[in-house]
Amino acid sequence: MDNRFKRTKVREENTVAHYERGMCGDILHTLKENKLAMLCAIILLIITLMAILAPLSPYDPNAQDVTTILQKPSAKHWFGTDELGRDYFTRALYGGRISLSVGFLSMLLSTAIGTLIGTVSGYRGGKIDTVLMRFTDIFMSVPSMMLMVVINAVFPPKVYSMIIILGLFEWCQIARITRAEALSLKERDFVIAAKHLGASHSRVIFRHIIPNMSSSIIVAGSLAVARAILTESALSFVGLGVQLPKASWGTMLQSAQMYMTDVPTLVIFPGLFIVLTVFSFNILGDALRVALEPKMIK
Amino acid sequence: MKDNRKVLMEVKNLKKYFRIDSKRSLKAVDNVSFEIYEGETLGIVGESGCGKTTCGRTCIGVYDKTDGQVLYKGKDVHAMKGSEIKEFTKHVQMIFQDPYSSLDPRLKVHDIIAEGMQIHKLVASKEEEMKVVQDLLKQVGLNPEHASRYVHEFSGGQRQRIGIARALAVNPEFLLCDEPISALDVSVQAQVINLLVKLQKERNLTCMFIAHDLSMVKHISDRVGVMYLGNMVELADSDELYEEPLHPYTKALLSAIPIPDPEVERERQQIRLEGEVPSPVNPPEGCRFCNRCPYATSVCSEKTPAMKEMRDGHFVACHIYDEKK
Repeated sequence: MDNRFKRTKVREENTVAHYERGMCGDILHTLKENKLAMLCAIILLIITLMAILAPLSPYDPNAQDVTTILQKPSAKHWFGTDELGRDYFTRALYGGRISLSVGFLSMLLSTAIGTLIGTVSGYRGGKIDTVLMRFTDIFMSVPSMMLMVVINAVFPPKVYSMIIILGLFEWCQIARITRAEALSLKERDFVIAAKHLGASHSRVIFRHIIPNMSSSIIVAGSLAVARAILTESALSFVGLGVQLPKASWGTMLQSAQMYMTDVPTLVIFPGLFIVLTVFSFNILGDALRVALEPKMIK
Repeated sequence: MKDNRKVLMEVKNLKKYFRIDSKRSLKAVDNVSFEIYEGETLGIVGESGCGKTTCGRTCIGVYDKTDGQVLYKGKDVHAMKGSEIKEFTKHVQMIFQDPYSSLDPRLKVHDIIAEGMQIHKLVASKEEEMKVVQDLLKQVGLNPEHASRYVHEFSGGQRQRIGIARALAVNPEFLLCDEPISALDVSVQAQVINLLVKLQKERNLTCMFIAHDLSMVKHISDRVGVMYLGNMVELADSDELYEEPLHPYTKALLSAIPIPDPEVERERQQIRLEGEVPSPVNPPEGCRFCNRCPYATSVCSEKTPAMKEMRDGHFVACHIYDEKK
C-alpha cells in the first residue's frame, strides 16, 4: 500500500511539473535558458520586420541609376549599389520578402500535406498505411532538385508556383514524423475513449491526434522553412527560381557573380542574409525539439 | 434468483489472441464464458497479466475478438456496423485505469465531458450542454467552475472523477470499470469507489468491475469471477466466493489478503504457491494451473477442465470436483 501511495505521488509530481507551463511557456522558457536560441529568434524577428517594413526605404528596389553603379557601402547606400545602380539594401529587403514568404508559405503547404498523410497513415494502419508510406518512400527517393529544375523549365517560374513546387517536395519528412507520432497516440487511452464514445475517424484525428502532436509539427516546420529558403535560393541562383527584375536572395547572388572580385559586398550581403536566416531557423528548430520533445504529454 | 434477472451481456467461449509473429500468439483470453445480469456488478479479479483488461475491452468491442461471441442484449457486439456501433457506444461506456493518459491534455474539462453528448447529439444548445456538464461535475463531486480548466490542473482522484463524468455524460446502461482505482492513492480510492457505488444505485447501472484489489472487489461486486492466465477458473456470488472458495487458485489468492489484526494474521495458514505464472504465449497443456496446483493429478495436465456448476450459481473449472458431481 505504502509503495503504491508513493508511486502515485511521484507520478503526480512529475506530471504536474510537465504541465505547469503550456507550450508557449515552454518555448519562452527555452529561449530564456538557451542564449543562442534567443539570439536566433531575435535575428529572425529583425529580418522579418525589415522585410515587412521594406516599403519604408526611400529607394525603389527596381529603379536604375547609371550614375551610381557598383558603389561601396556608404551612408547614402548602406549596402552600396549593384551593377545597375539600384540600392542594394532595399533590394536585399525586398529579396527577403520573397525568400521568407516562399519559405514560410511552402512550409505551411508541406506541413499540411505531410501531417495529413502521416496522421491518416499512422492512425488507420493496415493497407492504407502501407500504400501511403510506400508513396512517401517513392516521393523521397525522387531527386527533387532535378525534378524541380525540370518543372521550372517547363512552367514559367512565378513566386506562387515556387511555393507550390517547394511545398509539394518537402512533405515527406513531416509525414514520417507525424506517422510515428500517430502510431503512439492512437494507442493512448484518451483516443480509445474518444473512439468508444462513437467519435468518427476525422473527429479523432483533428480533435485528439493532431493537437497532441503540435510540438513535433512546430519543430519539423521550423526546419522545413530553412530547407525551403535554401532550395529557393539555389533554384534562383541557377536562374530557375524568381525571375529578374524581382529580387530574391538567390537571384541577387546570381547577378553578383560577375562582379564578385571587384565589389565583394554584392555577394556577401545576400549570402549573409541566407546564412543568418537558415542558421537561425535550424538552431531554433533544434532548441524547440529539445524543449518540446520530452514534454510530450505523459 | 437467477431466473428473475435479465441477462444483459452474454460472453460465450471468448478468445482473444495477440499475434506476435507468424507462429506464436499471446493467448490473453482463452475460452472465457460468463453472463452479466442487468443491474448487477460483476467483479473480475486475477493477478497482473492474466487477461482481465483484455477480456473487458474485448467484451465491449474495443478489441476485436479472435473467436467466440459476445452478445449485448442479444446482439453480437463484434458484428455491429455503423449506426449500431454508435448506438452501442451510447449504452456501454468505460472508465480507465490510468487517469493521466485517459484524458486529452489539450482539451478543457468541459470539452472532454461534452464530447460524447456532441457526438450523439444529446443536447440541443450550447447552454443546455453547459448545464448538463455542470450537473455532471456536481454529481461526481467536482466544482462546476472546474469546467473551464485543463486536466493538468487536477490531481489523480479528480481526474478519475472527470473520467467518470465523461462516461456518464451519454447516460450509459453498462459501465466497464477497468481498475479505476489502482492508480490512485489509498485515501482517494475509497472516495472514488463510494462515488461509483452511489452513481450505480442512482442510475441503475450494470458494471463490470476489473481489479486486483480483492477486498475492494468484495465490497463493490455482487458476483466475482476469478481469472488465471486467460481462463476463468471460478465464478460465484461474492459472499460465497470469499467464504467458500472452491478452486485451488482462488483459495491461494484469497489467503493472500492480509487481515488487519496482527494476532489472527500470525496464526492463520497462508497458501503459498510455488513457481511463477507461465507465459501466456506458451501456456501449459490441460489445466492452466496444473504446474503450480498443490492438488494436481495426471488428468490435470491432459484435459482442460470445463466450468461446472457446483452449487447454485457457483461455477468452478477444476478436475478435483469431477467425480463429485
